[in-house]
Amino acid sequence: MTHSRPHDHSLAYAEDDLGEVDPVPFTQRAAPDGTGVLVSGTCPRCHGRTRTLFPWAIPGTGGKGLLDLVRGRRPTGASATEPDPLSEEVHFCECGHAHPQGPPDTRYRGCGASWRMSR
Amino acid sequence: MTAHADRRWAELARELEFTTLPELRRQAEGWRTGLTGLTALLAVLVLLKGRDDLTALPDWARNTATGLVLSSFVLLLIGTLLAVRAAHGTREEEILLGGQALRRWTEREVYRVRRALVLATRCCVLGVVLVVGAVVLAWVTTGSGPSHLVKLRTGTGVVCGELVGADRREVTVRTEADGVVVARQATVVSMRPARSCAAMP
Ligand SMILES: [Zn+2]
Ligand SMILES: [Zn+2]
Repeated sequence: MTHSRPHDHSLAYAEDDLGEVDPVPFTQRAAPDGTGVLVSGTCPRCHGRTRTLFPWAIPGTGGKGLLDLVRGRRPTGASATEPDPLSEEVHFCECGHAHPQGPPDTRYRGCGASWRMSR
Repeated sequence: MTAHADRRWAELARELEFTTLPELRRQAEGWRTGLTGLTALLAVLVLLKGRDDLTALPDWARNTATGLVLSSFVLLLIGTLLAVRAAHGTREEEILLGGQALRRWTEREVYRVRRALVLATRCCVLGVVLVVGAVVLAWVTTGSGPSHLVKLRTGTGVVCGELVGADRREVTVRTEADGVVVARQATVVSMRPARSCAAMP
């Protein structure tokens, strides 16, 4: 099985899109301090343990339309239902290891791989 | 959606984690500026209200003009709020910030801002049109008749017109039909203010 293999530290950084991967080695749970949802598992490329926090935050400008405000209606969309980052988001390796030939300023410290979870 | 775009969205989402507070402050500043503009609008309305120009109008014209000005004020108010909302956003509930969530949120927000801008434009144009309508109406109807209309009943008949003067000997009324009419006080049966001379018996 992939998640039993050791973390390949010598693997060169590459922005590989791995497509859909098996969701079994991954879990998502609310962060202990309530700041967001933590998705953790094993990177399908470098096999390191990867943890990504999806925080609750106010994005950019905007929000309820004035008409929504008048009607007292909550906007529909992601916020109206329980968020499910595991299956809705694209995931990036955050094994924490600076893989060789990686960019110095990447937002995701890992091997560069990205993937989605198949349902 | 390409893998490269997904990565860009995810990186943007991660950057936003650190800009939430400055963003809120910027929004607050935008709203403050917009509300200052609204205060100016209110001041203009109070100024208009303070003028007594409208009292010279006939009832129907005064009511219509007042209605037009009030409607236009409401429209301009809504238009301004919508424009401020489009430019600076409103207070937003939090979303679970990830690249895809941010992408969906942005698509919705772009739609909402566009709609707010279209509505704001319509409100402002219509508001200005109504104000112009009120001014034109006031202009047209004010020019149609003099003030201080009286209905003067004398021993020989009734005249209606603008009161020019009255002293111990005579009363002077300027009428549309008969020009200036001078009636001696001794012949005056009654004199009453009149709203209009149009419905003369
Ligand atoms: Zn790794
Ligand atoms: Zn990896």
